[in-house]
Amino acid sequence: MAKLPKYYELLNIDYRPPKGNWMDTPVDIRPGIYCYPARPEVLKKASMNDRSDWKKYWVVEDEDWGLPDDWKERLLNKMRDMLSKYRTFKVYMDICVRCGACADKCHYFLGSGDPFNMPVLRAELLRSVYRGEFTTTGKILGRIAGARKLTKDVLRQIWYYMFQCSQCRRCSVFCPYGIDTAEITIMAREIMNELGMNIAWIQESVTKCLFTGNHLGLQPQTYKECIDCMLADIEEYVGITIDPSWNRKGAEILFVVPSGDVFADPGIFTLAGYLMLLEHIGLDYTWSTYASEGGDFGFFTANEVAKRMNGKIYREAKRLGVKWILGGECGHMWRVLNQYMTTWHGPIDFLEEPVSPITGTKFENAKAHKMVHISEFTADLIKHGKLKLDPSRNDRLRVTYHDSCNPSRGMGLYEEPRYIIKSVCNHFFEMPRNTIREQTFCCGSGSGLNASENMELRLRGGFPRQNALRYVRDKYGVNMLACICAIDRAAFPTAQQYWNPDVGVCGITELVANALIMEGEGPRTHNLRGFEIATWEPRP
Amino acid sequence: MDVKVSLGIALGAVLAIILIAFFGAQVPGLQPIFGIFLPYAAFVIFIGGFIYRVVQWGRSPVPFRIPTTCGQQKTLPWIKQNKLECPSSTLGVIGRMFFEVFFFRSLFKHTKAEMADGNIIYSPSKWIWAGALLFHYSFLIIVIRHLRLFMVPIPGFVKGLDTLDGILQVGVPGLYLTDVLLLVALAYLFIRRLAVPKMRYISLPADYFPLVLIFCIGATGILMRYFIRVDIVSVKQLTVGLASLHPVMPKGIGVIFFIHVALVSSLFIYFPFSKLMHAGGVFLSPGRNLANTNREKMHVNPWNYPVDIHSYEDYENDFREKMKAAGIPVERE
Amino acid sequence: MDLKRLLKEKRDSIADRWVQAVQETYPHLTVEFFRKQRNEFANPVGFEISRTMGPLFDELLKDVNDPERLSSLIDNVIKVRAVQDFEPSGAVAIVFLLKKIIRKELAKEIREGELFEDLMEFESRIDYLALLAFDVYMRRRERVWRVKLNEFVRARPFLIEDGTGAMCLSYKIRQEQKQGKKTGLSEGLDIFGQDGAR
Repeated sequence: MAKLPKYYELLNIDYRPPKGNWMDTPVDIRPGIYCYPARPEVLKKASMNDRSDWKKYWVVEDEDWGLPDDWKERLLNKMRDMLSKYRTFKVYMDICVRCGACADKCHYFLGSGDPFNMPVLRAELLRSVYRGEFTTTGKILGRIAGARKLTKDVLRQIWYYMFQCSQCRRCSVFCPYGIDTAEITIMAREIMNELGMNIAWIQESVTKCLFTGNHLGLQPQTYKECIDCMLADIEEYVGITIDPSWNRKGAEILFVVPSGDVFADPGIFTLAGYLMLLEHIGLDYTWSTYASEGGDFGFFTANEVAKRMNGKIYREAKRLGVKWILGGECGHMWRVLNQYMTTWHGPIDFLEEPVSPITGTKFENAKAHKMVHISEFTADLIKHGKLKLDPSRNDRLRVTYHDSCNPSRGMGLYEEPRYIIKSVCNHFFEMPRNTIREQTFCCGSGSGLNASENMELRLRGGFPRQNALRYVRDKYGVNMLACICAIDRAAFPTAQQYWNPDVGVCGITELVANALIMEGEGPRTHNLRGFEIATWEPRP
Repeated sequence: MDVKVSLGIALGAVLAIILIAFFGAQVPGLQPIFGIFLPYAAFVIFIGGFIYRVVQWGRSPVPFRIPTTCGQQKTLPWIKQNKLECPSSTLGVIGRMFFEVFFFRSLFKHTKAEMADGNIIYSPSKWIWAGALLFHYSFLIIVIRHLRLFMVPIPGFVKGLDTLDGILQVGVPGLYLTDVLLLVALAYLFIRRLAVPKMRYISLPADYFPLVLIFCIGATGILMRYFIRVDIVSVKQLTVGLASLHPVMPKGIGVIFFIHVALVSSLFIYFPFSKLMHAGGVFLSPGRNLANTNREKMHVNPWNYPVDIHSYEDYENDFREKMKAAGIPVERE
Repeated sequence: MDLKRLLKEKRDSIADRWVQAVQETYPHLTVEFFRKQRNEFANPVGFEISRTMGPLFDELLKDVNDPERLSSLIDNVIKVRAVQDFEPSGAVAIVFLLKKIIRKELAKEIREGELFEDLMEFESRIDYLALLAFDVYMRRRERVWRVKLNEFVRARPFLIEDGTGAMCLSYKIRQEQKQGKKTGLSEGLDIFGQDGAR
């Protein structure tokens, strides 16, 4: 046992402020911060490196990881390959001037105070290796040029901190060169994936999705059952019987949602919202059990895996012969759909340019991609007066809107959700300007980091957002946080149970459905969650 | 890197350049090396290196179109698009890059005055934007002003700039505003790196070196103009000779001039191999220089390749009986 | 002259020092950021510290301390520290920093005025606050575990059946981590072995 410190020394005993050179600061891998490694059998099932060539079972907290002999060569080869394939990677490795503008923009830095969570330093972890292994000046000048060799300790550090970035891109907004730390983290993760150094939470979802079609691993009958369950709820609380179609050929539209909405509370209520909305307008659409996932956890492993997972959507659209695709509320799903999907699989000539069959609106911004976001679609419906709405049903709610990172900074979806909320709710309040829109704070659990074993990381990473939420809660009595991301809907209830236990979480379509006056509906005394509308107090 | 070591390396390197030039230029016969050979070599290395780096970047593919969208996308006609922060056309991209390059827009973004406790608070980051802008523009104007040493006759805009820069009309010869501003801005950038703990923590010798180097360039320039005068006619003879590719080495130029030239040459040589290349890189940054039109126009990845996608047939084979039992249609009974 | 009056006179400087001392439990470059960045949303942790320590000191100075209010105030800071890289002792030790500050700030007055009894009385209050802080810290830690549990319950698809009952994935991997090898728990467990969630 350590010697008993004097009372005023207590504060110095457990937190070691980094001294001297950050390159020499050994990494202290702490439980509660890191995620458990992917299981070998799950990696193998996905035909990814399953670490069978490692010398021992990978235990993250061990000093010796038992890396294979040629670990360094393989990582560097992969890195070289990535540098030649991505201009982003190469340019971002070269041009940072360390101006420090990004340093205090990361929610993980703000919540933890750990300097390695400053985006610039997170990137420098990899950049120093780039300089030391790939540039002439770095090889000659070494430390003077800010270069270092890739060693086992450096690898530990990189692994630890690359899985403390939620790829939210907030820092990139402030970078004078547009350097995107998310991109660097994506590259780093793909490089480490070469050795099978992935985390369980991501990999379980990936492998399940590859074969069952969705992250949760719901088999077709279960997937359908989950939705049937919501249909029963709708029947009970709304008095409407809905009978959606499954894997139906010849439907006009294929509807794809993040599978998180199919299962966990409160996402399921957003799902109920989709069902009611699409039934109400009489859309000719179908669900698919094969393309039953809009999200793409493969995006958090490697480009190829992401593409393998995402490929099912267009394939299914082609098989069913639909005209275009409608996508549900999800964050990274839309970053992938928007910025990667057509490039991976295009050109998409077997589908038609999306046109809303209800309003006749052409979605010209989705001309090549053939996929429309549910918020764009709903906003158009409301604008054209196609929905009969009674916002007073949401009067118990004092709503604020969380701009989910990816649709914001990876797509530019800012106004549609706000327009919808304002149409279906009477009480809407914005959080402070420097915490919303392009400056929005991450929920703290993005990019596959919403495992449970890293709860401390998630909670402190979520603190900046929760702090802004507390502000509007105190000032305006906000009791509901609306968002358009399935990860948000999974992560926020947890974060709020810790930070703001009296603010609930919902998807926007749930709000729409509650306000929606459907033909033939029964008395709407209860909302979709089964609470009495008149007395409901939302809880996370 | 420890701050003392970093500083030591940066200061030492600059001092070495100064000393080499100081002694070298006084050795009979070596002046042409410092006055003619070095500037030519530096110029060639700078141009060649710069082009090489940019071509290297330019040749690396842009597999995906991933701009950071900081404003409303182009969508339904009644929703106003933010054409600057989320451009959907080349013109928009040019606009975005223009504000980025000429006004450091991203750096400015978080620098608005904030109200806190009823007082207006300027976050410290406001100064980094001002300092950076001041430095870059002063440097640019000084570079343009120097054209008058290389051109006969002196172009009108150089003369005009000269007049404008000396508008204060303090002292003889007239004090240039940019000379002072450059040094002030550099001093700020330098002190910021030293005084702000987080900056000190992330700074490398490569961050201090250019600051010290450019500071010394400015300082020797000012010394030469106001204090240790050099014969301007001889200098112009040399510089015009250099520019017209008929170099001559006039006699009687003070040693301070050679120190100045050696420092400038060092900067030119150092430039392409360092972070200073952000000057070229900013134009090639895919986070900024692409339009957000992925859904409108397909972006082509030059190294795209087919991957193994778990097919619907395999999927149905796995689950056919369960699907049938659940009433989900199947392809093959 | 009694100690309380002295403390009240020096209220601002003591409160400031306390804020500073709490900030200094973080890495030095973070401390500087906490101080400089005044926007409460751009600097949530620094904000919580600076808005808490003053009122907390005021509350201690009252004749009768309200434990509810003390707890809710100290919670502002403890809730953050409970999920940061602090040991439990480090998380609650911020309370004791006040003793050090007072002894230093009022050393002369206490010695000359022989106010040791007063000092002991006031320090007892600080000890009391420390106990409250410990309660708050534990409540926060309990809540961390409770939200974890809630998450398992909510996310049932990640519960795995292994024949002996439900077993959570994270637990299983933790077992494997502990033993440094596969436990066999997952042997024969195929991800398709479970029938979805039900």
